[in-house]
Amino acid sequence: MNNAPLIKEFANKISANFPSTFTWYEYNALSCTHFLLVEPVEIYDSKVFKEFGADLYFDWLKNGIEDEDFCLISSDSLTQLDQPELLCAPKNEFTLHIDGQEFQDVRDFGVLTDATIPCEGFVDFIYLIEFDSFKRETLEVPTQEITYFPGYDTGYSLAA
Amino acid sequence: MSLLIKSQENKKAFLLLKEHQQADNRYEEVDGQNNVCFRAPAIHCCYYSCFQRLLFILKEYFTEHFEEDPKIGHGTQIKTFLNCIGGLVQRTSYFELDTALKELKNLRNTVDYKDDLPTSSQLSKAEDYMIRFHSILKRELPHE
Repeated sequence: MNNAPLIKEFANKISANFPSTFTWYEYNALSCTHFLLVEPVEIYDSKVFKEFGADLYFDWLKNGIEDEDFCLISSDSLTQLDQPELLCAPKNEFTLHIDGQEFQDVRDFGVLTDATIPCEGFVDFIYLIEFDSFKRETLEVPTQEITYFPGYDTGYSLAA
Repeated sequence: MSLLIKSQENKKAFLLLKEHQQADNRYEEVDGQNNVCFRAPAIHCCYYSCFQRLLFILKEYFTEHFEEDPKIGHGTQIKTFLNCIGGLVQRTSYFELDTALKELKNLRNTVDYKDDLPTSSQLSKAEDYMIRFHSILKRELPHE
């Protein structure tokens, strides 16, 4: 499994071409497959993304990697990820404070993926902030509120 | 042709097993008993229906790339197939074929080798992938 740089490159390409996407990564050792989960589903299902995805698949084949596969999925796909790592997220113009630590860029949230935050809840939470009218304000978010996810309720109460 | 026939038989086997599962679900609702699960073998058939179809295409139409050696892994055969059809189908279709094969392969490995039982939702999605796989090939590979 020495293809991490290539996967990271693919995730960056997705992020550059589809700036509003989140890209999550997980390697499945049983099927030797690198999965990249792309959110939101509406982008993943679009014709333009599928054409772009086909090009990434071609690139993977061209690299001649024998024993491993690469697959693009969405949260609506057959494959669900257990403990994905957040590789890319949209840039936003708000500042988030968690336990006194300042996060200027949602990409910094990657450091939290080792914590107990379930993927789906975490994505929901980010969306709630992203679309919130206080987008450019500083938000104070205690850690215990985040680890409470999944579910919209806490996120809404924070954003309201 | 036997690979194509096997592919079709696996598709029929999938539908039969799915039907049994649905009947069993109805029985369970009435009886409250925990019944036999047909989802795992159904997903096995679903994957093989697609895999044998691609082997058939390789054998019939891309003979120079096809190797009948059972030691060649499924991943390699799938890569060969995807390489061969690359310029022959639309890019969106290629994306869907590629994704369907890898996701079905992953699910088949999970249900065959791990303790997890597949869910009704996985069974239904696997069927969608299988149907899409066959219909794209039928529509876009003219000699098929």
